[in-house]
Amino acid sequence: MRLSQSLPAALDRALAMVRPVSRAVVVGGGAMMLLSALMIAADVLLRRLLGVSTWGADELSYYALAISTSWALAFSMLDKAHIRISVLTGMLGPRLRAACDIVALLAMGFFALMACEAIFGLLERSWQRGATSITTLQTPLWIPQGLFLLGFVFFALVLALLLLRVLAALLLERSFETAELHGGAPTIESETRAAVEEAAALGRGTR
Amino acid sequence: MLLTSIILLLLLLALSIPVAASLFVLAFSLDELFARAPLIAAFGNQLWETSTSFILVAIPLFVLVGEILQRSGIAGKVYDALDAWLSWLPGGLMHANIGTATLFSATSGSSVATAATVGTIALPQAQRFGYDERFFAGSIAAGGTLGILIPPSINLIIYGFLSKTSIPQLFLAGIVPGLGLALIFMVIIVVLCWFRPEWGGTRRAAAGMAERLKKLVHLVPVLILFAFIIGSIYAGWATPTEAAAVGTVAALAMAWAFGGLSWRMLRDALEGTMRTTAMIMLILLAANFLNFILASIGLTNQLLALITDAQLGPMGTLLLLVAFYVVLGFFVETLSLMIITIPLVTPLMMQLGFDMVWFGILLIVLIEMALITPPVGLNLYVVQGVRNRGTLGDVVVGAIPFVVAMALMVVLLILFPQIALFVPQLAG
Repeated sequence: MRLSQSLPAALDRALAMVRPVSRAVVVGGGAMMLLSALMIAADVLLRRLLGVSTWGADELSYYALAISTSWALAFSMLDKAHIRISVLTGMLGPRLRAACDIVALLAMGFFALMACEAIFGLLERSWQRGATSITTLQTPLWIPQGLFLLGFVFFALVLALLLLRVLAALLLERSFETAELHGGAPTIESETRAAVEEAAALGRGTR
Repeated sequence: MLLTSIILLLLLLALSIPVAASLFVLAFSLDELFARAPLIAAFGNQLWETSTSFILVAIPLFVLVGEILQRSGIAGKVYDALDAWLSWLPGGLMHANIGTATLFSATSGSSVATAATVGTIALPQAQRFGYDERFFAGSIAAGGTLGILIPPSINLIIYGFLSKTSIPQLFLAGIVPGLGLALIFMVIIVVLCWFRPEWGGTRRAAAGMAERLKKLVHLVPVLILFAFIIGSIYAGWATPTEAAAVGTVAALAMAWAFGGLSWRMLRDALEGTMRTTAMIMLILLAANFLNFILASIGLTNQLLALITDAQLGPMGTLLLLVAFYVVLGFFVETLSLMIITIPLVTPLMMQLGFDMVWFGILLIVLIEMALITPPVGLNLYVVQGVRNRGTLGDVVVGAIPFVVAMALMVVLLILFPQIALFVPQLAG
């Protein structure tokens, strides 16, 4: 098979593998938040009704927030949930719009890589100093910070994959449509359709 | 420095670079260009501090409450009950549209989801009972916007976090303007349908008291949830995050009682919650870093000096700002508009002596207006999408009376700040 076919196909396979992983970690992160809600609720009720002192549900919940957020970044990217203002670029031709999509991916990638570097620095310091949180739990900070970093690394990998896929579509397949599918901004039409379909599915389910 | 920043920001956004990345690239560039020592060294700490704020835990939890309720099938029953209670008024079902949207707004923070949910239930009725479809669709789009004003509101949490304003006070301040706006909407419907009865569809016999009481049971759980969340914050019994956690448990219990709870539903709700949370948090992370850079390089002070020199006076500046939001609201997605402008606008308003809680509420009403003005008013598109016939122009026209109502609320808030402030002051 020629490169112009094999490379896009390989990237498609990689994306097809990444999608379910991103979905699984999102649900995992969501479960962490749900667990946090249960812990905080139990905590607040025990404290208010029985006067039992608190034990760190709040601390675990804000680690859960940081970790679940960073883990969900990749899924939100694949799902085109990160907001882009495409009023002006929507009026451009396919060539210029594809260029903007590449710039958008590069900018997001730059943000993700800088974040990875910065969080890695943080993690390194916490590890070397054996830093713990100044709370009763005395959490070794490298644990939540390491999990936080993992999410950003995954996010950066997904961004690199998307960028390669868009470039392959443009340079090898010469298809603006495929490029738009992977790197394009969500249009108002597509966003609306998603919201409407969801509400309609829910409506059917209840009647 | 100020001009460079604004031009760079507009350029980044116009290229359709994701808002979060635009804010980060702007912060990074300003740091490179104007900072004496590289502030990027603090980036890791900034990311970690913002991500681990206990108050922000309230964001996913309130989104989750909304997701659970939306998926539990409660909306249809609430609509049915409100139909029995409100449809005797001129304008009939349109009051149920506003009422359902109000109740759902009270428990979730999303305008688009509210508009889509109410639209799916309500729009088929518009054709059946011969309502003016434009006005009917407008009432749904407008009702959906109440979600970001009536507490708990994700937008108010974000405003409070970025401007360092008390979120409990913001929540309390949102109650009267939120319910007031819902009331103004209903008054407008009554008045217009009084003069134009054909807009209000076929009048139906009012539901009997027995039927109303029977259906009340569908309203009670949502009302209790709302009362609990607001009551516990008002009494200082729980922080917003704690109220959200107890609310999540209550929403799960309600979904179970209504027979809408399943593993699949829960998984979808969690997925939807984290999708939204990640989107909001990434913008917040970038915005908070930008906030830090702007203050460190002295740009905030430069803006303050500039406005002070212009001698517009507090009221002149405020009116200019209102005009600025109305115009930008036509073109910029609302959540981004709010987050991008807060770091620059709130220090200015504080300097001019305005109350930050009051300004937060005013800002939200302006943002609500942006949600139902074309070409970027997302609620209009959602309602049109559900409607699936006619044109978007119909919904735009139908929403005009409600845009007028919002403008009226803006004027009222400026003339009588107490509308927003007396509840928080009452709570101390």
